[in-house]
Amino acid sequence: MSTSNPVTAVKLVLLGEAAVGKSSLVLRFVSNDFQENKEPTIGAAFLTQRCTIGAKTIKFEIWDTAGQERFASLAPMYYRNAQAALVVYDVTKPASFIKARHWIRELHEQAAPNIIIALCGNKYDLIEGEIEGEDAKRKVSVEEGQKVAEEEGLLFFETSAKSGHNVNEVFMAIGHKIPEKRSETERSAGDAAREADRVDLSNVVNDTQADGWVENGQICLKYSALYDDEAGRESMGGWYFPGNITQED
Amino acid sequence: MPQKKYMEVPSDEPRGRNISSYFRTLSIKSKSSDEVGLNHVVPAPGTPVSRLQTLKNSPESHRHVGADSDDDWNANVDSFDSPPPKHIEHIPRRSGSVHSLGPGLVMSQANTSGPLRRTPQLEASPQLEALYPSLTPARESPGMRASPGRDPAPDDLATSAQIEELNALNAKFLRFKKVITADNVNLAELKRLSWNGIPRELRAVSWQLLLGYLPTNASRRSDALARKRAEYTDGVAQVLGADHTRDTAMWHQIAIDVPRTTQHIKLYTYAATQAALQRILYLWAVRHPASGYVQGINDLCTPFFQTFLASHAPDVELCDPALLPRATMDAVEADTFWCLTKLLDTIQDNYIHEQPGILRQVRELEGLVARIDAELVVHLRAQGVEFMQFAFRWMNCLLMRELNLEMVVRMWDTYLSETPLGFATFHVYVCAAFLVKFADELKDMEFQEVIMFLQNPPTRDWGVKNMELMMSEAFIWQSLYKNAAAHLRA
Repeated sequence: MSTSNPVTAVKLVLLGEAAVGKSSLVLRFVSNDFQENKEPTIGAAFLTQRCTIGAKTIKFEIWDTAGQERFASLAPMYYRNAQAALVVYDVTKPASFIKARHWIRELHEQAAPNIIIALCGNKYDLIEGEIEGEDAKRKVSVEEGQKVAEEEGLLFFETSAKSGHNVNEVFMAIGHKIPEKRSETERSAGDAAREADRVDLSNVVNDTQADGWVENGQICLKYSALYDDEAGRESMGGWYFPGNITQED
Repeated sequence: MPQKKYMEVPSDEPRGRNISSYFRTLSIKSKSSDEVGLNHVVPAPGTPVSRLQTLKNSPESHRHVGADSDDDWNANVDSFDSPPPKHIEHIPRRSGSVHSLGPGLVMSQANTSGPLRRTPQLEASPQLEALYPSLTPARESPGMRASPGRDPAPDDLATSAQIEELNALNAKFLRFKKVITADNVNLAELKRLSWNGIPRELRAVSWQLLLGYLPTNASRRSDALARKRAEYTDGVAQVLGADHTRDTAMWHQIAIDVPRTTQHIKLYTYAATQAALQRILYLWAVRHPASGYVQGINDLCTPFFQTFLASHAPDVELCDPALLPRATMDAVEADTFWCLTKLLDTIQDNYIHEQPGILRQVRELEGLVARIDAELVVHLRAQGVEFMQFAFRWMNCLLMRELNLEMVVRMWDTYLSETPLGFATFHVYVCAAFLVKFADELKDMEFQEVIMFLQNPPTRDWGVKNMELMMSEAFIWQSLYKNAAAHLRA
């Protein structure tokens, strides 16, 4: 690990159907704020946030894209160079989950091969404490979300931009998976920087002192164990489904 | 800053000087502007310099006094309902809120209490005819200024500036009224006047005339309006009726956007408003399947809705439409639908698949700015900023996200006076003027700062004068570059 605590810039893109709460997730993460009836995003909005994870300082450079289908042709401009993507759906809207799976497929096909993807089932506040049943507001089960995440090698969280539930955790989890590289000076350093792409798994685990294990080159952690979790979050939103940590050989 | 320049000009300065200082404030960066000769460009028909109009026409405006007072135009679009006249003999200075900008110009500095805050002089304008005689002496005997050896008291200056402003507004109002109340409206004349801004009270009817929604022939208006309004009502009944298969995806998209539209203005938080917007947008979308509803079109509804409603509700921003007579609301809703339709007809390729209109406009904008301020474009490219990243929204929402609603409404006065309507072509020049306005700041910024600056540009305190200056600049760019397509080829 570097001792100079370099800033790692991470380009992150948000994708998902209209009105699932993409802008609200970013607003919560960047400003710890929430607005009801936030106006629809047109084109894309750009925001940044720094956070420190272990010895790393990560600066998220976030492109929050518009969700409506008509704007979809703009999306490649924003995910083209992204190192991470947040694919968001609304746990009360099954159509938004289908759309999320489309985005995941498009990212796998079109985006950088080592892109880190987190799947977020947002609006958890609407179904928190709800008992399963016919009239339940929840329309996408935790298991469905988890299953997709496992199959596709994604991080998975259920979040609420309104309550703040799991919002920071998503970004922290992405930050964890970001290899140390691309500090401002390193960015142009070519192959030398690429060397730093390889992540020492033991470091990650040591950093966080988490319950975790490594299996077939994947890191598996119970995510709620990573951070002080005063809310005692025990929902399945707290599971950390990793992909491959070592992206390049 | 141009604004500061205005404020430096003493209000009793000869008018000629103000005009030349006006030209100086236009920051022309193009090399070719000298060759064209701005003094020839600007006073041409459609000239944006409202002050020139005021000057030129002021003797005439005296003639209008009284001559028009019997005119009574009774088209049923618009009731010129106004509160009972109150006699204003002295206008107290509102300390801190009003700055003298020269003869006849008063600019409110900060719109702190909402985008459509009314200045007292504007509120008075419906009754200006009644006021005019009492104001005239004040205008014609500025003895307090002329008296040698005595500096006029600031209060007097401010007051006389406000009186001048009222007079200018009055003259303007009368000129508009004369055009609008003619049996056959001279559209060319209405466009010429409207380019420089339409008096609030006459805006609804002027917009409808400019859009070709209201017939220019006064005798045809009642029938035409009745027919169009009935047609709208029938259209809504049909697409919402049992025989029509609801496009649920479209309906849903509109339903989630309407409650997110212009929520900072109370009017848009009421259920009656939202229901009206929902019907307008859905009917338009169903009738235009090539584009359907696209986010941003919801924003384009609001200037019409608010302007038309303002004819019936003096405090339109706070108005709950549910409290208005049903027939009134039906008329406002139908008029909004048809005028929105007319507007969108001119920019439909902004909203069809892959939005080619917007892609073209953004390309044109980049080419145009490259001509106006090549250094800026070089800087943006060096920083990795793509025009699409910030200008997409400028085109998709016609700068409605960058400017407050009052400014947008003023901008539309001009757009609706352009031939063809300014939403597709002139808008690109306005966007160029908008971007170039911030060129000096932008050139010192890196990628992130540029993007964040442009997605939240510092226009909160902009007033009408800022808008008019920007549109004057756009007018000049258009005069220089329109039909000179070679300039736009990057």
